[in-house]
Amino acid sequence: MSDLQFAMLFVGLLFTLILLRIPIGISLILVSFTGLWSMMGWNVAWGSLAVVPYSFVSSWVLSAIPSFLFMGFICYHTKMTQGLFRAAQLWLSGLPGGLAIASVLGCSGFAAVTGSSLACSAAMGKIAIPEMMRNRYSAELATGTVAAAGTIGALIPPSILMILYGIISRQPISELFLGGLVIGIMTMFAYSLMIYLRVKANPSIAPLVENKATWEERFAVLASTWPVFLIVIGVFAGLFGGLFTPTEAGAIGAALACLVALVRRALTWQALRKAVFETVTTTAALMIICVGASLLARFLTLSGTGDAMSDFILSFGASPMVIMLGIVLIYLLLGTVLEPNGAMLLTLPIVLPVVESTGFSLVWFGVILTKLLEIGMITPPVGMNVFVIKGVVGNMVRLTTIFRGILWFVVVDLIIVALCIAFPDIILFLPALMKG
Amino acid sequence: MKAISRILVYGSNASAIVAGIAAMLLVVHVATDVVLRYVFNAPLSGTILYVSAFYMVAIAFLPQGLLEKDEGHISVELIYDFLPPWLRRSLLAISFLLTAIVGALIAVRTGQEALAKYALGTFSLEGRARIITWPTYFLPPVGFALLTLVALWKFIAELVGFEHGMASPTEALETIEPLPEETPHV
Repeated sequence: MSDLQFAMLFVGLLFTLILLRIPIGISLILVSFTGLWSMMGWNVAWGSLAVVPYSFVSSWVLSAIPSFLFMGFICYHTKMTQGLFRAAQLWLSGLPGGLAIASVLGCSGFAAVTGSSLACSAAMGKIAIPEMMRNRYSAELATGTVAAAGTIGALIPPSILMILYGIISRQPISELFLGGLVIGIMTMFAYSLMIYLRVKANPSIAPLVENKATWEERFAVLASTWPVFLIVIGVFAGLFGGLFTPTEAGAIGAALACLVALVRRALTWQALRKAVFETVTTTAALMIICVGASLLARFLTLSGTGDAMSDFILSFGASPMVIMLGIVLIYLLLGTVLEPNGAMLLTLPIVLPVVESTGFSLVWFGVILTKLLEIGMITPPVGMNVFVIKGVVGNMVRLTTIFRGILWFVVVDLIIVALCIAFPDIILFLPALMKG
Repeated sequence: MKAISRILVYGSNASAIVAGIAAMLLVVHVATDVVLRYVFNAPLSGTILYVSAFYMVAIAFLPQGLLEKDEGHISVELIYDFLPPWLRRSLLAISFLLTAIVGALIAVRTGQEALAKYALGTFSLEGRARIITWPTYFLPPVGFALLTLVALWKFIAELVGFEHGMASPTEALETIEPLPEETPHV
């Protein structure tokens, strides 16, 4: 068998195991180990098991993941971000679709303290959906908005996906974060605009709500959002100003979040316990996949099968743009069935060499990839954000209704992706500014 | 039966609690270091080493048993949900077996590595301080041993047909109620 055939065989085996519901991390380790053993001999395979788990995990850069997770979970469990929706609501509810726009803004604010879109959807869903339903918004619009706006959580920094990408592709995390900030804010404005236009065209989906809030009330509610802004400014001024590494920014953020919660008398023992528990289980679940992906990369590199695969893809002589469109399409498809972290770690060892050879910026690709995988969070059949919203609304709204609700948001997302591919500088200008 | 199950549950929980303590220490240690560095110009020495070799390794590996116990590992349910119950049960059993095999391989290999580091008395030099790091090499084998034992226990339970006394996805699936008719919102 040629290297290429071997590579195809093992990749095929890998996806078969994963589809049979073998945990992704276990499948990766098993296939990589068998691959190394059959192509490089027992000693290489057995030796890899000794080195890879410890050496991959004992990393300073990687520790940004638990520290940012901790910060996000503390904010989530101490309900620090509830004020954000309330504030956006008092300012915007008079607009057509104002409550939906307010929940997009609320999600974006929460996105600045959490790196996960699930937490974002869950937190905002509990507050915003009942409010929208009470004001007779259509169930499709109310649920679809929060499910889709939740994806901003992984775009606006911090972002767990981007930290993982940065580590594997060896790109600076602060540059990825700045690119993420751009695409996140773009998404926020595009969603808001789309909601506004849709409601203008069809006012029945979101009856106008009279905004009776006085200016005093509006400014007073802004004052109640100070905890979030304090944390966000503390964390990101330090990170982008070059004072903190990502881990330090996350740890300072987590410590600030605990202090703020303490001052607000919201830091209960239960909230702290849940935050710590979710931090370690989320990190550990990611780490076993990371160890597997690291072993897969080792197998593909050492055996030469990785080169065989990228040579095969490049041998068609397609232009870089065609290859990129192919990659975009593959990730959109993968995203419909795979969870983002798994999908990314699973494929990067194969995809990165191809992207590198096409000459695209790896920072730019990381941002696009995050956006593509986040689209996968809301597309059927497996759309984790939609499932979370379904959990929030219970029997009030059907799953298919929520999936119908995300349609327009996906259209907007695809336009954003197309724009960023056609004009990479949209994403790259901020990171370039920081580099000077 | 119940005794074995209880020991595994306690072991996994205890191990995850140590990981939780490591996570809190990570935040406190790094935040203290930053404050001392910028406010008092006196950073703590060895922060990077403590974070990477001690806290990260503990956070990543010690909860593995708990994850296996609570079905916390990330997997894809796409096809699985549409399979007939008997096939689901067999796949579940295979999944536990493969997990146990992979876990055992890593536990044994990282265990050998840990013993080697112990024999050498591996340490790191931070400034003038000598920080012993060999104990951290025992964290991966502990985590993966727990993972292996829990998966093996579930495999045997599935094979022989008794309750393993831990979370099970098949049970969870059966308790999900069919979706009701959409109720108009008022």
